[in-house]
This record gives sequence, structure tokens and C-alpha cells, in this order.
Amino acid sequence: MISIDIDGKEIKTEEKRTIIEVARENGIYIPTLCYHERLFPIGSCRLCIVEIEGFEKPQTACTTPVVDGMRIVTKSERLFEMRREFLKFILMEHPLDCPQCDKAGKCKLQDLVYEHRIDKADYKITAKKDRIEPFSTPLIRKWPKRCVLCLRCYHACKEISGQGVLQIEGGGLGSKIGIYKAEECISCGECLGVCPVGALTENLSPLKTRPWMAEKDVITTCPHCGFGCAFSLVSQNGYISKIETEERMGPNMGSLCVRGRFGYDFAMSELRIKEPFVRIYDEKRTLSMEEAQRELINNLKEIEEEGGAIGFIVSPRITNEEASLIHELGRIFKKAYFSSSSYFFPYKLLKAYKNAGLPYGYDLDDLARCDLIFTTGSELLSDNHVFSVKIREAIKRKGVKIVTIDQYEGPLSAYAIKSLKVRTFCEGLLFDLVASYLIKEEGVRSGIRNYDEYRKSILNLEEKTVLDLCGIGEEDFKDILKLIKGSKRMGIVFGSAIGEAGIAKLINFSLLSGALLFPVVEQANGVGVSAIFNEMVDPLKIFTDEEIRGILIFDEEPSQYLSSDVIEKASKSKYIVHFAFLPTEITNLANLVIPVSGFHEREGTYFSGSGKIGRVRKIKSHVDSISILRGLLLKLNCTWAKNEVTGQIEDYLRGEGVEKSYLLIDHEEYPKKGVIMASFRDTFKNPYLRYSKGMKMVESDKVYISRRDAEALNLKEGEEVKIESKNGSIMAKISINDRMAEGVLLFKPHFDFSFTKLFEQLDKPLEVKVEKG
Amino acid sequence: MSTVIFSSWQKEIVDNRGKGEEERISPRIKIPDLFSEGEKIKAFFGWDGIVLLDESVDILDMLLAYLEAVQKESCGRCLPCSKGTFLLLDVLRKIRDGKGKKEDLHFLKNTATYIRDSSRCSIGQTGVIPLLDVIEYFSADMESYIRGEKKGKKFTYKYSVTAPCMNACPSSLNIPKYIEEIRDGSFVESLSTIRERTCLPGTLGRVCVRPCEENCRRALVDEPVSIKWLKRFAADYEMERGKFPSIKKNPTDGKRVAVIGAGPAGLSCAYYLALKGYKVKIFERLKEPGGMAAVGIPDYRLPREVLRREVEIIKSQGVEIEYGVTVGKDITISEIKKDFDAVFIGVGAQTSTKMGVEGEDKQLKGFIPGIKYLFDINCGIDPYPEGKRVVVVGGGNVAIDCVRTSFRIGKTDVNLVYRRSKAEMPADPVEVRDAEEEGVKFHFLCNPVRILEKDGRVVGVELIRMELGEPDESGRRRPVPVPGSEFKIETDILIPAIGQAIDLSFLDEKDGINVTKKGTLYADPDTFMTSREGIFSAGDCVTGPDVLVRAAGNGRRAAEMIDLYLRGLKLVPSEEERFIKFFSQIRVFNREEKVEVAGKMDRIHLRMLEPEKRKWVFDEVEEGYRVDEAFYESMRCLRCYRIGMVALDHD
Ligand SMILES: Cc1cc2nc3c(=O)[nH]c(=O)nc-3n(C[C@H](O)[C@H](O)[C@H](O)COP(=O)(O)OP(=O)(O)OC[C@H]3O[C@@H](n4cnc5c(N)ncnc54)[C@H](O)[C@@H]3O)c2cc1C
Ligand code: SF4
Ligand code: SF4
Ligand code: SF4
Ligand code: SF4
Ligand code: FES
Repeated sequence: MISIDIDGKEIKTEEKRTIIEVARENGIYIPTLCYHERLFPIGSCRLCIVEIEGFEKPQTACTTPVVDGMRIVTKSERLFEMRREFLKFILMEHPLDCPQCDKAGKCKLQDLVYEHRIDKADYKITAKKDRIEPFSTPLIRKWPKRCVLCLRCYHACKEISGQGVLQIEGGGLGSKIGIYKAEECISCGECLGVCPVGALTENLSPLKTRPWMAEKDVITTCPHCGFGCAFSLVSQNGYISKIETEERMGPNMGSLCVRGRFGYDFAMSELRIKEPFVRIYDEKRTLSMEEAQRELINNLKEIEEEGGAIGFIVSPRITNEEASLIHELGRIFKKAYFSSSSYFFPYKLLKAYKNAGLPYGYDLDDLARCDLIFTTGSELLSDNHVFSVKIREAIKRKGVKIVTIDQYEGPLSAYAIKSLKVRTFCEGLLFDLVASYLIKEEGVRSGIRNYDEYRKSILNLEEKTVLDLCGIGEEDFKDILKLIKGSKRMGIVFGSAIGEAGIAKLINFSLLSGALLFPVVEQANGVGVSAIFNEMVDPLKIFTDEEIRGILIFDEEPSQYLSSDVIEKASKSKYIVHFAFLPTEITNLANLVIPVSGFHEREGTYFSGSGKIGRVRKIKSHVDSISILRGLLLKLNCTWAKNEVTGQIEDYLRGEGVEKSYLLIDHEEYPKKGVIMASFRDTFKNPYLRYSKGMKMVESDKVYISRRDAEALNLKEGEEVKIESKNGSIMAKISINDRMAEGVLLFKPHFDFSFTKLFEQLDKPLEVKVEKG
Repeated sequence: MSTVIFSSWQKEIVDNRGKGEEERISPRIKIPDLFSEGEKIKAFFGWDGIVLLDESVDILDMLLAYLEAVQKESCGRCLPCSKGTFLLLDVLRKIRDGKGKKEDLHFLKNTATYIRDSSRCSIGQTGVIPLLDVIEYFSADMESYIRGEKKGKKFTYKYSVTAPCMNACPSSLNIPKYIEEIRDGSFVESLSTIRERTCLPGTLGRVCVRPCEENCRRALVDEPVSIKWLKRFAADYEMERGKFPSIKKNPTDGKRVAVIGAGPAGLSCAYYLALKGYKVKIFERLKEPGGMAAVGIPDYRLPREVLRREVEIIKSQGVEIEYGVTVGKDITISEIKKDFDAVFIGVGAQTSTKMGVEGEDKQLKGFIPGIKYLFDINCGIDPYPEGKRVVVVGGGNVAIDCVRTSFRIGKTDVNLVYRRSKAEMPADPVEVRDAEEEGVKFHFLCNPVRILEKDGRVVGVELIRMELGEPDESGRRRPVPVPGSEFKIETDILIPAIGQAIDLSFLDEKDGINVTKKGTLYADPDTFMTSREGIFSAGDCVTGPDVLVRAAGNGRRAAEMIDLYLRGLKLVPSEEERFIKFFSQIRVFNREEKVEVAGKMDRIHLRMLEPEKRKWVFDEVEEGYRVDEAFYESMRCLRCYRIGMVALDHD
């Protein structure tokens, strides 16, 4: 504890903090322009100068650490005059076009100029109109003359996004933010988020709102991935004009990925489904909601009476409240099966935790408490990047070491002390090998019930065979072991691409070594939905089981993870109801279509991948899913449970009563050697993203192959190729990538999901052949 | 030396305007007459004031030139400097164009003061000093400029940017730049900045004696910035990730250069020649590159892999190394000269200096010169396994290396004898502390007089106590023996480590290469050419035993000269080199400065292995910075860039 004096007020605080931090905490205002909580002190604006006893020159509060006995004055005539002068320097070139600027009303420069009573630009040297310059992403507009050179964007792109897109160019008056490596831009918009003025503005929404006219208190949870980012929906008359964040908002602390920040515009699409309709011989007939509900009940009842079962496919992006009503609805029927795209990962994940006797959930702050972090099998660590922002934060603040293990080197690899390229579905196996080493060489033991069986199951692994299968060199493996040996606390961040066996193996590894696990969940409420529907079946069963004759699909597009052939076939014999916000493939096959709420029309809760509750809030509902579902239940003479669904989910996640044990796998399928295996990424994304103009600007469907494989197959960049598996074949454009593992064909779909024709089951190794088209 | 008309340098005001020759006083700052041949210095404007050597200098014109330089060098990372100095320039231009007003002076002074007091780094903080001094001491002239009356003489202006640390660095690394790049998270870029000036970043990042840190301005606030460890961080960041740098290389033009010796000097010379497109072949006597860095410096300070990797990168630029060739024995210099267009000699200082003690020349078992002792150990050999007790004589880094490695090859009783006291030891105090921690017994103020022998082997040494007398020419007090104070220490091994000499036996009279009285090779200090045309030399063999960073730096400079030579150009140091020299003459670091930086940021020290664990093994003792530590340390740098400008008269 030290004590300092600011403006005559005695303050007790800690060492190693800056004056600005202490002042703010104590409600003492010091003007700042470049300072940003998420960034290291920049020190470019010099507005935060304060007087410190013993020093003739004023000192910047944002860069100066406090020391015991420091006496600080934040307001004086000299300080005021100097700050005023600096602001006038900015106005030398800054256009005074505030009425046209998106930022007006929420601009730091405006506030500071006003506060410092500047009524004219004394040193104006140009009166040229500002011209928009191209930026590194089409989603952002750059107004160079409005830039105050605070450098926040430059540092945010490096420190937060881990990219090096921007640079400071020129010198003196001619200094400006330039584009250094446009190709590295991931359109995350961190730069936009931190710009204090209107120099960077959003280039998406056709509607621009004025801060004083817009509604912006609606802070909701992002509908895309399971990180649980919070943001505020800025809207006017129910129309979203942009997404905004603040430094301290949510677990994302103001960060968002490209989908979160720019993937909202689908909600405003003209094509949204406004009324229910039935399809009779290809003809659409609009129904009232009342009629639609009756139609649905009658048909489902009929199926039940004839001895058929009903299948439910539920979106992992609906709220827990919606999900629990659907669950109630399902239970009315004697034979009901539930499924979801969350079946593949969050559902299996929760089950595995449960079987291992572990409570589900984690604390993101624990990332910074590890000294070595492995990341594996997760697409979200690359362009959809908030999780990797957290990891980078741990590197930046705590010097944590990172090892990436994946089918390709993503952006995090640049920071990794080691980045291994591993073949599909081999990640878990690699950890088994590490575990066997820990047992054999390091004498690690555990007192868990079935430890001996576990030990036996991995001790006979042969290093060379395993490494061969994984496609990893012996030297690299040795390096990994060395890192593990030197680590006191490990963390593993992993995603769905490691497969079901991979989940089990990582859990086992964690039980043995004490490594902390951080699963990355790809769907906004994957955890909540998987907890509510805690007995799911494979979605494939829903479409292929003869017994299931009616399918109710709630806000989901199954052709992103099931073969469209299978779905098409099923639609010929099964009664399909699609609850949808926007039309997708399945809408065209459905017998009955009923509208649901958009993400901006929902009120309720999500459970993030870390097992934490997030609030979902609406701006205005045109359609309310909850009342539609309640209407159905009422019509079926059923009431719904009044107690809070979130409490039940929390109980489920806590999962008491099961003894800790290793997860033993009796049968495993490994990828074959010497052939090309497919890896599918990002297939669980929000199906409505295809309606986002923002996403269309920056994303496209990609199929990646390594340079070595491409050369062996004599393929050229961008060439049309034929990709064939035992289930079918498709045509696609190939992208050759130096950062890919060999023997892997990696699919990164954004809009076109036709590749589902290739597989029967998404999470099983799949051999493919690639040839010139 | 021409007389100074006016100087405000470091606030010492010397005003000789209108005074007769004999009345004039000279300031502390000494400005050389010539900047280079035929270039007379007429005035100097710099970070700490202005110096006029000629009354006719057009001050306004030079001020404009100086502020233009400030504008150019201003990095754009803070408002007062990047925008404010433009404003100053704007007003000065108006004055020049006859549109000035008297009030402008007030404005200039006020704004310049703000800029001085609040800019982020020294470019802004010191860039307005000449202007402020002119307004203060030449106000009448300024007013006369405003009235359009005064006209001075215009000269050629040249300027350069320096920093205290940078100027002190014998390899002239751009220290503030590479530190700022670390601060920005641009680790790869930081390393390429370092590589512009040295091809041994990982080596220097570990064992450099860091003259830069002694000249670091941050020391005037708390402690110097860890310039060395930050360099190591940048180098290790690349090495740990197993990445190789992409280095831009010029196409070969076919000319060939031979380099003798793969020590730091030879390697550096070879690397920079290769970058320029020459074909370079190194002849090395040993089987291993690195010179003393490999076979002198022990592995626990500089792991061999680090050096080997740096040599790999040098070789990847096309440098060829032939090992096991002793020039002078296997091939003569004159023979080499026939096959190559130029030759560089970097053979270092390979022999130990004699102590001048009875019994020294008897080839006793257990009498091992320091260089030889370390050489053997670095080659994996214990030179005398039966001997367990060791006495090392000397107070420098070589002596410390000898004692510290002794434990590591299993010696149990390790002593160091030094004729002065601990305070005078030339060895790095940090190393001395480490040796103490590891359990070395120090015997200060004594000197060997006789080696005690039995059956042709060392059994002990007789020492005499010393006391410190009057200071000698090095400024240290001269040790004098205390008569009758002799005493003995029993030992199996006696290691003299008091100095090194150059083994000149590789030279043949026919080679035509002169040597100096001190027993070093003669090479011109500016051109690095020896007395024989086309043969250049640098490193320890020219300077006498010295340090890595100078050997490497001069190796690079010699490469510049060889390049000029091969292109048939006149061998003159570049403008940058001349400025480096000029700046060191007037001194960039001012220890008296009151640096106004509030708040304390302690320097981050490296984590070390425990003394008891480390003393027996050759594992690297120090662990490099983690990313977070590197960030923090880099933020301690004050970015002391400053601009010095001379007005030159060409005759
Ligand atoms: C024990 C020890 C510790 C040191 N510690 C430090 C330290 O911590 N920091 C620091 O900055 N400096 C240190 N130094 C000094 C530093 O190592 C030298 O200043 C530096 O190596 C000199 O470089 P050089 O290239 O001039 O010569 P050298 O490093 O001596 O290299 C000369 C090379 O030429 C070869 N050679 C010699 N003769 C011939 C021949 N006839 N034919 C072919 N090849 C030949 C040699 O084998 C050698 O490889 C230390 C020196 C020693 C001895
Ligand atoms: S959008 Fe993201 S990656 Fe692109 S420049 Fe901005 S911060 Fe950098
Ligand atoms: S673009 Fe915005 S954030 Fe970037 S330097 Fe300019 S004002 Fe600052
Ligand atoms: S050079 Fe220094 S003072 Fe000038 S803009 Fe850059 S940081 Fe500021
Ligand atoms: S503070 Fe930085 S720029 Fe200044 S002398 Fe030290 S290392 Fe050099
Ligand atoms: S807020 Fe401190 S310099 Fe900008």
C-alpha cells in the first residue's frame, strides 16, 4: 500500500499502477484522448499531463506509475493552456465537418474541444474537404483528415487482434495511419471500436443514427458463437444501425469478431418470414398464426396416432426459455427424439464431462494463470477471434507460452512458441502419447478409480507409429515434452474439430496432468440447449429413422451438417415443419413454415461455452417465439413449468454425484495414412449469416490444400477440382495454402454447404479424392 | 581549433560576440575544425543548444533547416512534436519571407516551450532547444530578420540523428528503434533492425559488455534500460520458434573476398560483404566458428547452439567457411591475395600474456594459461583431470570465466588472485557476484611471485600482499608490493589470466603487413586497410584484446570499406560514420542532466538458475525475458533520439 495525493485528496493505492488508473478509480477526471484501458499506454496526445511536485515539466498521467508520496495536481492554468494548444494543433488539419460525421455526438475530440472552450481553429492550414480512403477491409471507411493520430487503431490491431495491418507512415505533419499488410486484415473491427473520433466509421448499415436519437441501451449477447460476447444494439425505430461495445462490456471486454461486429445486418433483411404458410404441391398458402398452430398440432397428433415418432431439431442459438418450451412440447408426444447441431460438440462435451465426473465450466481469467497453453481443433481461434484475443492478452500480460496443434497454422501460430500441423482427428492421440510419457518418464500417477485401466490403454502406444499417424516429427514432439516438463500449469483450449474421441482423451489428459480445459463452443447457446435436451440423438437418425415421421425444425438449417441428399430423401416421406426467421434450404422442403423471432427480438438467457449465463435482450419484436410456443402448449392443454430454467441448467452443469473416472474408449477410427482426409470447419455457424451483406463483402467459401499435396496432384491455385468420397462428389475451387498440414483437405464454408454430400457423419474420419475438374 | 563566437551548449553561455581575439573565452564543448576533409564547421545546432564559430552564419536560415530536420524526423507518435513543430516552421518561414510580426517571437517562444515540456521523446523535447536559445540570446537579430534587415551567410547543412546509447554502441545499433519495435509487438521487425547492424544478435544479447547501458539516459531516472536483454529477447523469439529470417540480398557481382578467421570480426565482415553481393570465403584454423565467442566464452554464458545458428544464417547468405586451415602454415596471405580481390584479417588475440613470474617457462604440469584452459574445456576436454585445486590469477572477465568453469568440470577448490581490490576489477560486477555466489574464493591485493613445483608439476604458488598507491595512467590506484608479506597457497593448477597477445607468427615478411609497437596489426582507423593495399583488418588483432561488440562492429565497417575499395572508390567513412565520430567527440550522454521523468519503473532482471544447481553444469545460467517482461522493459526506454546539425563551409 502506498499513499499519494491528487488535487489535495489523499489516496491509498498500490504500486505499479499509473496515475490515470488511480485517478479514474477515485473519480478524478483527467482529459485523455489516446489512453485506452485495453492497450498499453500510448502517450501520443499528451492531454493527460499533470503537475507533479519536484518536476518542472508536466508529466503524462497515462504513462507515469505512482510512487509513494507523489503529489499530483491535475488542474492548473498552465495545464489548461497546454492542453488547449494541443487540441488546436489537432484542429490545424481536422475538417470541421461534424454535421456530416457519423461520430458527432459521441466524439472525444468534440467533447475535448468544447471542454477547453476552443471556439475557432486558430492554426488552420488546410480547408480541404476530407476524402474517404480505402481501408484494409471494405467494412470500414477511413477518413484520413479526421484522424487525430491517437494511434489507438495501430496498437489495437497489434495488441488486441495480433495482426500487423496498420502502420504509422510519414513523419511530422505528414504522419498518418497507413496500411502495411492489408492481406492480414481479419475485419475484426477492433480498430474501428477504439477510434475516438470519426476517422474510422462503419461501412455497412445504410441507416446512420445520431447518438442522441438512437436507442442504444439494449445490451445483448452475440447470437453467433458461444464465447458470449456482449454488445449494444444501436437502433432507431426497431432498425439496427450498428453494433457498439465499450471497454468493460462482457467477457469480451469490448472486442468482437467480424461476425459479431458486422454480421448483424441479416436481421434487417427484407426476406424475413413474416407469416406462416403451408406448401401444398409446391404452392404456398399463407395462414394465420392460429391456423398454423392448429395445422401443426393436427398433423403431429395424426402421426402419433398412427404410431409414428416426432423428431425435433433445435437451434443452439435460441434462448433457454424457448428451448425449455420446445422440450415441454416434445414431451407431450409419446415418442419424441431431440437433436440439434449442438449434438456434435457441446452435447458430447457435456456428456463426457458428466461421465468423467467433472463439473462443466471454466473461468476465462484462468488462461492468464497458466504458463503453457495448447490450442487445438478450433476454428474460432482464427478469424472469429475473441477467444484468441484472450489468449493473446495472457501472452502480453503474463508471458504465457502457446503451442498450436491443428490442421493448419492460424493467426495465433505467429505467437506460438511451437506450432504443429497435425492430421485430422489425431489431436487426442497426441495427448495420449504425452500422457504415456508423463506416466513412464515423469512418474505421474493418479488416484482416480480406473487409473490402471487408463494407464494400460495408453502405455502400449508406440511413439513412432503415433507420430507417423499424426504427421509430426520426433524433434517437434521432444520440444513439446520439454515445454510440458517446464510448465507448472497447463491449459488446453480446444474445439469441435478434435472429434468425440478427442474430447475423451483431453479429459483424461487433464485428469492425469491437472491441465485446465477450455473448450471453445461454436454456437451461442450450445451449452444451454445441450443441457436442456440432455438426451439427444444424432441428427442423422431424425432424418433416416423410419419410425420418425414428423420433424419439427426450430430455427436451424440441418443441411450445414447433414448430407443434403439425406434430407431431400427424408422430405419425401416425412412431415416437416420449419420454424424460421429467414428462408434456408429446408424451408423449401417444409410442409409448414412458421416465423420465429430474430436475435434482436429475443428476451431470455444463453449459456456461454464457459458455462456462464448471458442475457439476451430485444429491441422490438415483430414475432415472438415464446408466445407462439406457449400458444401451442395451451392448445395441447399443457402448462409449462414456472420455475427458472437457468437454475436447472446450472444444476445439470454442476453434475454432482458421479465419481471421477477416466473415459475409456473401446473403439476408435483413425485417419488412414497416405491419403487425403477431409476436415470440416465452421459448419455450425449461424445459417442466417448467408444473408449478411457484411459477411459477403469479406468472406467466401474456401477449400484448402497444402502446397505439397497440390503439387503432387498437379493442381493450380483457384482451379476447379472434383472432390469425391464414398458418398458422393462435388466441384469446388481449390485454394493452395502454405500453412496447411499435408494429407488434409480443409473446408471453410461460408455460404455454400454442398460439401455435406461428401459425408455420412460429420465427425468421422472421411477419405476424399481430389482431381482436376 | 577555431574560436567559438557563441555557445549555449548545456546551458553554459559563452558570448564572444564583438570581442577581440584575446578577450574571448572558450566553452567546455570542443568542436573540431573540420567535419571532414575540406569541410569547415561554421556552426553546430543540437539537442543541448547552439554553437557558432562564425559570426556571419545566417541563424534564421539554419534554424529553418534544423526545424525542417525535426519535422522530418518527428515520428508522428505525439501531437506537440509532429504538429507543433510544423507550426513553428510555418511562422519562421513567414519571417523569412518578410511577413513576420514582432508578436511572432512571443508565440514561437511560448509554443516551443510547450513542445519542449511535453513531447513524448527527445526529438520533440530537444528539437526546439536551438529555437528557444536563439530567441533568448539573439532576439535583436530575430527582430532585425522580421524587419527584413538582417541577412547572413548561408552554408551547407548536414544533420544526423543519434542517441546516447546508440552513440556509445561500437556496432552502432539503432537501439531506440529496436526497443520501440518490441514495445509495439513487432518482434520480427525488431530483430531485422538489429540485423542491419550486427549478424550476432543472440550472441551480443548474451555476452555483450554493453557500453550502451552505461550511457543510457534512463539511468538518470532509475536504472538503465536492459538493452542487451531486449536484444536477446528479439533473437530468442525467432530462435525458439525455429524460424529463419528472410534477408534481402543483392545479386553477386562476382568479386571475391577472403576472410581469415571466423571470429566475430571475420564473421561480421563476411556477412555484410555477402549482403552486398560479394563471394566470401572464410579460412578458419579451428573446426568451429565463433573465435573466442566459441572457444573462450563458456557455454553457460553463451550456449553453442546460439552461435552455431547465427553462423548458419550467415552461411545462408552465401558465405563459405573452410575449417582447419591455418593461414601462415597451410597457406600464406600472399597466396590467398592472388586468388581473391581483397582480404580481411580477423585473427584475434590468441595467446596469453606472461605474468613474469619465476617458473613460468618450465612447462610445468598444472601450469595452464587461461586462454588454453578455456579452449580445452570448450572443446570438451579437462586439461588436467587429476588436479582438483585451482588458482586463477587476474581480475578480468577471462579470469572470472576460468574460475566459474572450474566448478563445472568438477574442480572443488577454486581461488582467484587479483593484485588490486574488488572495486578495481575490470570484470563485469554482475559476473563477479555470480562467481561469489557459486563459491569462488577471492584473494584481493596479492600477486604471485613464484610457482612452487614438485617433480615437474605445480603444487602451489607463493604470493605477496599488495597495497594501493598513487593512481596510474588508467586512473586506478597502482598496486605496490608490501615487502616481507609473502605467503603460500597450495594448488594443483595455476592459471594466469592477466591478458592476451596477438600471435603474429602467421605473417611473413613478404606479406608486407606492418605491425605496431604494441604487437598488434596496423590498420588505418578510418579505412581499416593495412599497410598492404587490398588487405584489411579489424577486431582484436588490431585493437588488442577487446570486446565482441567492437570486433563485430569494426568487422562490418571494414566490409563497407572493402566494398568501396572493390568498386574503385575513394576509401572515406560515410557521412553517418563521420557524424558518429563527431558526436562522440562532443559527447551525447550528459551525466549531469536532470531527466524529468516521474515515477519509478524498476529494471527487470533475468531469472537465474540457483547457484548450487548451476555451478556444476554448463546449462545456460540466465533465462531470457518472457513476452510480458520484454514489453515492460521496452516501455522503460525514453527514446532519446536527438538531432545534431552542422553548418559547413566547403573550400
Ligand atoms: C574467455 C574470454 C571471455 C570473453 N568474454 C567476453 C564477453 O563476455 N563479452 C565480450 O564482449 N567479449 C568477451 N571476450 C572478448 C571477445 O571474445 C573478443 O573480443 C572477440 O572474440 C574478438 O573477435 P575477433 O574476431 O577479433 O577475434 P577472435 O574471436 O579471437 O577470432 C579469431 C579467429 O581467427 C582464427 N584464427 C587465428 N589465427 C588464424 C590463422 N592463422 N589462420 C586461420 N584462422 C585463424 C581463430 O581460430 C579464431 O576463430 C572474451 C574473450 C575471452 C578470451
Ligand atoms: S479490422 Fe482488425 S485486423 Fe483489420 S486493421 Fe482493423 S484491427 Fe486490424
Ligand atoms: S484512425 Fe482513429 S484510432 Fe486510428 S489514429 Fe486516427 S483517430 Fe486514432
Ligand atoms: S519523435 Fe518523439 S517527440 Fe516527435 S512525434 Fe515522435 S514521439 Fe513525439
Ligand atoms: S532510455 Fe532508451 S533511448 Fe535513452 S539511452 Fe536508454 S536505451 Fe537509449
Ligand atoms: S492519454 Fe496520456 S498521452 Fe494520451
